[in-house]
Amino acid sequence: MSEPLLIVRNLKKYFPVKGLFFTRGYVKAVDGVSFTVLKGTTLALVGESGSGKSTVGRLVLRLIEPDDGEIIFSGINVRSLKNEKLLEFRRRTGIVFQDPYSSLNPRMTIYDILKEPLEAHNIDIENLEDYVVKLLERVGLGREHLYRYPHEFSGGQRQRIAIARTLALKPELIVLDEPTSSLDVSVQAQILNMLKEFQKIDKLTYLFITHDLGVVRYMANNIAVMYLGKIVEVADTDTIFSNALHPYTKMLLASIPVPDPKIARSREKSKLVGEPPSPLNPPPGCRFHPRCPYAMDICRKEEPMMIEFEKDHTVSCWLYIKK
Amino acid sequence: MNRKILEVENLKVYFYTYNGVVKAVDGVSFEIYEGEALCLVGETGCGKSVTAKAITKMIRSPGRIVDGKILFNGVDILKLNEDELSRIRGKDITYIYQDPSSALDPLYTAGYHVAETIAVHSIGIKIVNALKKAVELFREVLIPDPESRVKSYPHELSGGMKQRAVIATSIANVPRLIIADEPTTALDVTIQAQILDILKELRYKYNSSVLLITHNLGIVAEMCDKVIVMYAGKIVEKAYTEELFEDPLHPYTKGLLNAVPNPYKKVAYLESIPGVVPDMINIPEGCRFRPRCPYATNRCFIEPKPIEAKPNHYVSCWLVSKGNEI
Repeated sequence: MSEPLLIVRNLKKYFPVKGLFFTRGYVKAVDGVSFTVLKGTTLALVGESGSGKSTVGRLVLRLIEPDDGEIIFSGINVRSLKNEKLLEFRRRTGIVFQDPYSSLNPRMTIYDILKEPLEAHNIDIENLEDYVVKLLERVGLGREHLYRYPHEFSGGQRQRIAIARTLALKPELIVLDEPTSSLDVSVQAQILNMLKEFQKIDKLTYLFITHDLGVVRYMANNIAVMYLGKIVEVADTDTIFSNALHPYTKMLLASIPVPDPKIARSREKSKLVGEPPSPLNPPPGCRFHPRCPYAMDICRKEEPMMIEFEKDHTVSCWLYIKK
Repeated sequence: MNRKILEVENLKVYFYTYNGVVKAVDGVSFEIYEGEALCLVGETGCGKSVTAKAITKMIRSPGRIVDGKILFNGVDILKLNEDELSRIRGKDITYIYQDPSSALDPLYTAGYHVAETIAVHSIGIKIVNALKKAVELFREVLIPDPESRVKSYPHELSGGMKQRAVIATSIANVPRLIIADEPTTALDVTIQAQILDILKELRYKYNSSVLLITHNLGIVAEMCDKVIVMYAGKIVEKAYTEELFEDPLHPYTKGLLNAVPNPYKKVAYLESIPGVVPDMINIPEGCRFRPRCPYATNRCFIEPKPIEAKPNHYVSCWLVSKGNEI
């Protein structure tokens, strides 16, 4: 068993909603999230839009400052880092964004884009051009692309460039924020395979943020399911797909269209109801109770705590809490 | 056997841009029977949306329908003038688009859209009366509290609710054909499942035909009777859904099916299709999939013709056409 690389405890981020004169309230985007990512593995953060999964990805890299909680990256308390130490942390981590159209500067050549992280961290490399070409070759591009601009590339190629830029500093942890959501399936498969290969060779650790459960099944070792700023269930991938406990996880699994007509038509379908409520006014008690088919009295009043249902399988639902 | 509701024959839609002619749709033929759900699948830029728009002649400049025939209920749509077309659009043929926010006018209530659609296509019905019908339709698409929701403006509704309102508009006049262009791409999975359920139910209730455009093979498997796979402006394969998933014949279809990560099956390696979709101005010679095809040979420089490889299973590929060499 590998050791944990990233430990997050009770992470919180509230965004103020400004009224005309006063703060009208807070969007509790991330509200007490805890998880652990083991070295060399992939943890998938799964949830619908507005569940706070992208915010978590930015928080753990300190791209935005958390309001509360602990982030420990290979033994270092990330929240207290300053100056050089913070810079070093930034060198050891990286992020790939969803939209490769807005994440690459249109006025920079690919060479400039790829050498920028090295310059920012004052890393001297003899033969910089060769180093950058090697990076490009790793992601399936080549020397001929060096002096071109982003607009000359397709979405899939741009995402390759974004990945190459992240790899330039040889990071240990990479946050992948929906890296293939805007791509076509055939290209998505290329990118996913590439990411998997890099993980194996470079012993990379991924925090994979996505809403596509098919991609999760292929990529992730462990899954954390988020709903309205909270994690509702954590387990390894096979367990989530074979033995999901939380009603929301079950609902998610039942909603995915399966690319197989036989399964699609034979599986029983639970009736899905409702929409995620606004994170500005989350419902009291368990946040899922208005949509939950098993909601009980206690769900409306008290928030369920996270319990360990079996080894390495935690869930936060009153159905599984013994009184 | 059901009646054919729509027949598209050799449809060609070209866009005359400064950089050259983009042959977005280049000789597409298919038909839809009454009550049938047909899927158009393909990746970005394969011409599936353009095909859908061409069905009611909604191609704007620099695009032009250069050739082909579109028969709807026996009437050649391409010969109709704008007045005649607007009597069909929104009544017999309706559209549901990907983005419900841009389909609804922000200055009008959700219910008004439905009421207007009804009033425009029937003589002697005032909008006020049609609004009552709108409440019923809202109930049908499972919008909670429909009486007050018809009075809501689009910005007051969530994405899922807006799409439901759009669906209510599209079924208001009991259409013969609903064209749904990526109707759930902008929505979350749990909402997507609800919307697909509604579409399925309404389709059976009104016996409307559906032309569903999607890139999601999961949706194809759940929703459609027949599938058409498009690549770079051409149809490469056409079959019943079960048949296509069980025995895909075209290398592109095979690649596409292998490239989708299946949540119900753990695979060690995802097969991908090498390369990228061709530039539509410089289309490869012969079979358009040739540069990416693992089985490509010299004869692929000649364009393959669609043949019926198995009963009701059409494919355009030299691998399958062996027996019927030209």
